[in-house]
Amino acid sequence: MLDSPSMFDNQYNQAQPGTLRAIDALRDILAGVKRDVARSREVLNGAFGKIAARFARVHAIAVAAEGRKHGLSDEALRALREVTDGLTIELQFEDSLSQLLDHIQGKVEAMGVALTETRAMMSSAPAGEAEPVGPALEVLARTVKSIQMAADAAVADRAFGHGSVELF
Amino acid sequence: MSKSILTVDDSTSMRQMLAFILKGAGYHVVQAATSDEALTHASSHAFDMVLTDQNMPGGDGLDLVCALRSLPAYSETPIIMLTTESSEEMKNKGRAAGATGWMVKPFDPNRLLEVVRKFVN
Repeated sequence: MLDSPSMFDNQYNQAQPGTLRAIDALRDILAGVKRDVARSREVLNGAFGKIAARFARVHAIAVAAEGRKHGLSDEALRALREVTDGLTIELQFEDSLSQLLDHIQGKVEAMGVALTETRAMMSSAPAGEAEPVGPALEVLARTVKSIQMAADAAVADRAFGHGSVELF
Repeated sequence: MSKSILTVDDSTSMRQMLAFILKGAGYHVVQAATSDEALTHASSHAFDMVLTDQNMPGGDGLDLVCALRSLPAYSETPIIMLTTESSEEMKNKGRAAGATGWMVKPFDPNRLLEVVRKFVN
């Protein structure tokens, strides 16, 4: 859990009150985003579990019907097979969404670490001395760059080739 | 006796989807959620084929391919990467590690079965 801004009231009085308050507010926002991501994951898992259980029943019925070949016309069997094949592809959304949530969580955690480092630098300056803004900004810039690079790679990975097969 | 396939994916939903399709086609399926779990299964049973995800916590699919290829029982076993990654760079790494093929998610069940039948039957 991120520290509450009230714990740093003395530091606000000594050094850069506005900057430290802003950093703490940002950390609180990030903590909220992290909780939202965790909640989203719970909702996703719960919903998918129920859908998957129903899909398992439909799939089992389709396989059994194809095996016995009675009770359903060939046309009905074909339609049932198309539905289950389509659902098999579409239900893979859970895997993609789960990976996107992992990316979001990773970015939020990276920003949290950067803010904690920045805060430590800003609050280390003795009262009356100049703020160590340069090094703090370097930390933030480095974090932004690494997050952007990770995000670009993630987008590129998902942009092409869905369903493609290459045998070596 | 039905052919056996080891599926490796950290996503429960993907493991379920693979199991529906492969069991429905008559294959015996064993599921692993991690590379370590896969290696444990692989060392106790010689599977006819391995389908593995790439990005998994605790050890990725490429490392698993290398580890399996170092086992005598898996020197020729078909190992297909099943992943959201589709870059040429990653595919080349897969080829170098010893993977037999690369399939990009979301996969089409019929296409998957075509590939499985090509190698296993």
